[in-house]
This record gives sequence, structure tokens and C-alpha cells, in this order.
Amino acid sequence: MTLERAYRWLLACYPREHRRQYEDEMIGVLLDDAGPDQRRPRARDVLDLLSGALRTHVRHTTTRLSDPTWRDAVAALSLLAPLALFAYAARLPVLHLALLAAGHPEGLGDSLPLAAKLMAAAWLAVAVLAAAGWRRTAATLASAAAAYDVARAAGEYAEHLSVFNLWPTVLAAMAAAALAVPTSRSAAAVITRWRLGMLAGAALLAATAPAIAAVVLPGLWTEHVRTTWIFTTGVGRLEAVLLGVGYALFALTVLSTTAALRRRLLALLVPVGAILLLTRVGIGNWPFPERAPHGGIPDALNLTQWLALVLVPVLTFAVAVATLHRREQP
Amino acid sequence: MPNTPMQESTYLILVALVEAPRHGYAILEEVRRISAGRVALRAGTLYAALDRLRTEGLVEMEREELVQSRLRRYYRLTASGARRLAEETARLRSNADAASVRLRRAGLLTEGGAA
Repeated sequence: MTLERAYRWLLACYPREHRRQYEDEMIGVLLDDAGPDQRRPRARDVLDLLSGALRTHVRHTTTRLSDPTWRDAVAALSLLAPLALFAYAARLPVLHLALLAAGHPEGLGDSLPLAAKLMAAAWLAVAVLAAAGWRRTAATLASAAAAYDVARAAGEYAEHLSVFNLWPTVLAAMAAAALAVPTSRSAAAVITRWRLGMLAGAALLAATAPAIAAVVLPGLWTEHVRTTWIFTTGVGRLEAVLLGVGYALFALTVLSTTAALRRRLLALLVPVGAILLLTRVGIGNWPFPERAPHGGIPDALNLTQWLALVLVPVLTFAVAVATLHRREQP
Repeated sequence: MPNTPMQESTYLILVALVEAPRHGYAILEEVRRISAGRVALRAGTLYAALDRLRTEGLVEMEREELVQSRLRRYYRLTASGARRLAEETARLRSNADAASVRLRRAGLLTEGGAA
């Protein structure tokens, strides 16, 4: 391999726009700076080019992520995520209240811890604060709720070695992070009025689905769907339909935004989808969810599986952002 | 908002462009000369800095030419770049003066150098 070709290989690590702008010029400088008999890149040049490529990637990504449309997407996420988490957390407290109202004196009894009710209230408060533009207060509350969810997930792993319900933890962390980012417009201004109504309807439907299925329409479609239903498990058929409509309304809210905002929102939601797939479906034959059970408890996660849990959401997000920007390049 | 302090390599690249527009390799050589060989910039660092400086409007391309089938682009300092360099130089001088005064007062610096 000639020296020039070796340098071109190294320059392939740079972002495409940077290569288009500077590649030939950099090759000229590198060859001018090379010794007369030099055949291979010097180690310090290799390190310098690789660190330059990394810095350039970080700078380009930071510049792109600070554009107004990304800020709008972050503003929208800071309302969408708390509402979705409210809907998820409120299902059992709402069912409990519906059972009490229907004359069952115990409701769900001891199976509904106080923390579950508090989490539902906390995420609803975060959503309301975010919609009203009180982002700093919302961010503080969301951080506390996200910290609680991390503790909950750690508790589930400590007790059952389970990572089944990690998606709310990832979404909670993203909600807290999104609220900490300064935005030029409020979430309500980005999402606009009729979408806000659709979003509220979606959250209400998802939150009340178990109560409607168990208390309001108890005789309808009573057979249970025992398989996983996207975000929840073991739901009745009517509940699955109601949840499906709620999910569809959430999706419609995102998909009905402008193309640039929609692409960014979908990219922001990619880590949640990735962790959901990873913890529920697994990848091909990779025995991720099918860990060998011993007495009903699966093996502890190995190092690769831990790394996958951390890296896959981050890398899929990076790929989504890179794909989006490549697609939007003139 | 006050400007953040410049990295030494960025400062030296701007200094290298004060007297005349220069192409990439000439900037590397000029920076070595200015720093008496202490700072040896390499292409990766130089072009990461040039790209940032162009985006910030402190440096601009003047012309390009082909020399022995190699592309050479000449860069020059903009008015904004010259102003920023002057501000940074004043800041460094102020810090250096303050350090010299205190060292001299403490008897740790004579006129010829360190005591």
C-alpha cells in the first residue's frame, strides 16, 4: 500500500463533509511532511488523525444537534415522554380506584405499593409543568422520578435477575435529560393544540385501559392474551385493543408533525425501541432473553450482555442521527 | 459574553497567518518556527482547528492552487480573527505581566530571568 493510500484510509474516519472539503489538501500536507523514504504513516500522525477525526465528529454532531429543529424535537419529547410514563405508571392506580368505586372494598389491596401511585402523580406533574413551560421545576421532578426508576430496575435485577422492564428507565432518563436542555419554544407550542388533545386522549386511554376492561366492560372479550403486548404483559383482549388505540394515537401525534421534526423525534425514540427489543425479543439466536433458568431464575447477565444493554441504545441513537443528517444533506 | 481562552495551537495558527496568507504545510512550518520547535502541529490537529476557525469566521480561504498535482489552499486571517487574536494577546500579556510582577516582588525573578 502506498503512503498516500494509507493516509486516505485514515482520513476515511472523518465525517463525509470534512473529507469532501479537506481530504485532498490534507493528503498534500501529510505527504509534504513525510520523510523522503517514508512508506507508512508515523504512529504520531496516525494518533493525530484519529483524534482529529473524533474531535471533528463530536464538533459536527454538537453543531447539528443545536439546530432549532432538534431543540423543538427535544421540547416535544419533554412532554411526550412524561405523558407516556404517566400512562404506564397510572394503569394500576386507576384500576385500584375503579375497583374501589365499583364496590370492591380492597381494590387491588397490598399488591399496589404507594410508590406506584406516587410515580403516576410525579410523571403527570412533570407533563403538566413541561406543557406550561416550567421546564426547570419539571426537570428536577423528572430527575427524582428517573432516579427512583433506576432504583426500581436495580431492585428487580437484584431480586429476580430480570431486565424485562428497562424501557421505562431509559425513557425516564431521556425525559429528565430532555427537560434539562434549554429550548426556544415550549412543548405545547411545538406540538400544537389539536395534537395536545390527541396526546392527552392517548395517555388517558392507555392509563384507563385495565380499569375499562376489568370494571367498566367486564363481560367483553375476557380471554387473556398471555404474550407480551409491546410495553405490558398478560393483558386481556379488550385491554390490548384499548392500549393499541392509545399507542396508535401516540404514534399519530409523532407522525403528524413536520417531516424534519418527525425524523428527529423518531431518532430520539430509537434508544427506547432498541432497549425494548433487546430486553423482550433478543437478537436472532443470541441468547439474550433466553437465559437458562435455574429454579425459575435465569442466569445473571454476562459482561457482553451488560455491554449490549449500555451500548446498543447509545449506538442505535448515533446511527439514527447520522442517517438522518446524511439524508438531509443537500 | 467574554471569549473563552484559546488553546495554544489555535493561538499559534492565528499568529502564523498575521503577516501573509499561508497554505496548510506552510502553517505547520511557521508554527514550529514561532514556537522555536516546541509546538509541532500535525495535519489532523491543524485541519480540525482550521475547520473550526473558518466556521467561527476567524479565518478564510484566500485562493487554491495545484503544486505537483497536490492541492494547496491558502488561508488568511479575517478582520474578526485579527481582533480576536489581539484580545487573546492582551489577555496573555496581562496574565504574564501579573505573574512577572509577583515573581519579582517575591524575589523569584531577576531582570535576566528566574532567580
